[in-house]
Amino acid sequence: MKVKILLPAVFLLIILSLIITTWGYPEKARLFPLLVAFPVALFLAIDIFREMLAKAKVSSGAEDQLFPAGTLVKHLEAAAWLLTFACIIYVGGLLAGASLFLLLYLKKHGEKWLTTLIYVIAIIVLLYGVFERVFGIPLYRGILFE
Amino acid sequence: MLEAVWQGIASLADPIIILYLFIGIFIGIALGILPGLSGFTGLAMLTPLVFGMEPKTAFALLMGMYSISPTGGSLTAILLNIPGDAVNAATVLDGFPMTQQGHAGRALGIAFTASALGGLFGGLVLVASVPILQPIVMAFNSPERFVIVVIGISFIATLGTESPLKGLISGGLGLLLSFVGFQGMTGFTRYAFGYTYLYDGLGIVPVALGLFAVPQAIELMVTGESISHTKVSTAAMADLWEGSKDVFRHWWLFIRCSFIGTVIGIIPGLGGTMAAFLAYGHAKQTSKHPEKFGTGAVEGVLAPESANNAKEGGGLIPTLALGIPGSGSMAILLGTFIILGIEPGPFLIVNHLDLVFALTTYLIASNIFGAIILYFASSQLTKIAFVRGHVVGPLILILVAVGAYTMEQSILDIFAALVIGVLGYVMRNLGYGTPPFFLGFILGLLAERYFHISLESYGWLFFTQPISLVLISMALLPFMFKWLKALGKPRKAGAL
Repeated sequence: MKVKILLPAVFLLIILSLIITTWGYPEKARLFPLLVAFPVALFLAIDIFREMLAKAKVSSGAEDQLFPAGTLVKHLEAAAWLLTFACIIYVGGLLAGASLFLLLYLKKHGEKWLTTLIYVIAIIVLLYGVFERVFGIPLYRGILFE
Repeated sequence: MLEAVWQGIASLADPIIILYLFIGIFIGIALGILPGLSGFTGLAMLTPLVFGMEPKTAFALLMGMYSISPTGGSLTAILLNIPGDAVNAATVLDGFPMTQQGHAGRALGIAFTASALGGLFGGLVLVASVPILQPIVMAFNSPERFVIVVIGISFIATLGTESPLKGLISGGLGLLLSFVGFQGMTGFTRYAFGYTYLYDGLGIVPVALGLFAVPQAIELMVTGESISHTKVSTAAMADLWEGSKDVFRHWWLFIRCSFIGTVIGIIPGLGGTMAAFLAYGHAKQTSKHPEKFGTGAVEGVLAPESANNAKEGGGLIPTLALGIPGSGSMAILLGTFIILGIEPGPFLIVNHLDLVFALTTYLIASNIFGAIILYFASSQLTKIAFVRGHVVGPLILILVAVGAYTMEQSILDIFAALVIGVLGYVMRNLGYGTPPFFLGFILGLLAERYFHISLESYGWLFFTQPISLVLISMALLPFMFKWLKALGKPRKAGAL
């Protein structure tokens, strides 16, 4: 199944399950969500139908890709970095975690040590100096330091 | 009255007031630039500090900060595709493509000039409308407010990047997401599925950052290219000036969008994001080249920026005249009046008219001074657009994390922003467009509240109220006009 059909199909399934869930809510809580959900489900069905018709007309599915050709590995790399970022922040907190993430990311992408350190120090100054000291917003410390 | 106007203007000659106004302006610019922080956050943080201050000094600080923060937010919206605040979300649609094409300076020139003049427009309308305020605001009841929200949502189709159908789906999904959590009217919790984090619903800040900033960070991390693909000189004065001239070239659009911003500001509960998107939709609908919108159209930056700042003057109208806050920020401002021992409401205009005009003067002055400061600083700030993607990408992620965390101080908000960001990236790549999703998310609960109140008060035909019908007709007119124009045009040979 092509991705341009797969995504609306997933959305349609979610909306249909939401409609079933909403049906059990009190009247005032379900009325407006249902007024929105039914047309959205209809539009999604039309969208899927249109995409299927378009697929039938175009034999090549070259344009039916989530990512531009040749960038799949780079997208997987970016996804891995996003996951790493979330884990580092959760464990090390915003100050230590963000600095460590920046250091790792910049070194992995070939930045010089001096440039990397300047960016890392700048981000520490911004987070600690501006957010914590000036605005008095305590930043998340992470499960390691809490 | 003239004496009160003069007293308000003359208060700017006081060096203490000027000092506090500029402190406010610098804080406002910083809050606008930093994603996740906004004038609303600033008002909440500064209000406790003004206790015991002389009222005019306190309002110079607050208005200086609050009025300029949307203009500061336009900087990151244009340069980094990160709306500094939700109200800047419409600016990214064309501001950022202009940066990608190497026209960052021109886009900033448009944004700063439109913002300053929009602020001036809103302020002048505020001054002019003081005597005729009450009947106008009181005429807009729930049906009219619901219709205005629906008109806003109908622009979703216009904003859809690939097709109106995908735009409507995206907007509908945003609306449904807004229903997650505790429903104020019934006390019932919807779609939380037992997760306590979802009881209060998703925050606007994590959703905004996720939809607009995270996809940009992913793209930069994937391509490694700088935000601007064209290596031209950064925001030189000539580029900025060109942008300023664009505002005067499109003066009639500027007036219309400022008017939209002011009116939306007057109507309680609609807010700046609505004003910016309505103005954007209006600019696109009335443009001779609507296909250029979303690809770096000058009018696409001008429209939301003028409406954004004009809205502030409009928002002050019901707050000062009736004691009805037009937004959350205005509610905090109303609280400030009480902290300072001044009773808000209709008596404010009677007893403290000089303060009303002083406030208006600070609003106008901070818009103009702030834009001038940004105008001269932007030649350096635009250089951000030429930094390599491998550097900017992770920096954006870090700012997203901090921005998402600051409002509720919840680590789950960071994760929510990242998850929504991935969803936004996928939706964007498949042509669904994230702005309609965000607009739906912002307007969902508001639409539901007005819908239920209207239904209870007027029944199912509530939208047939006279003002509602006029509003619906006004909203349909451009569509009808385009349809009739298309019918009148001879079809091209070979066209389907």
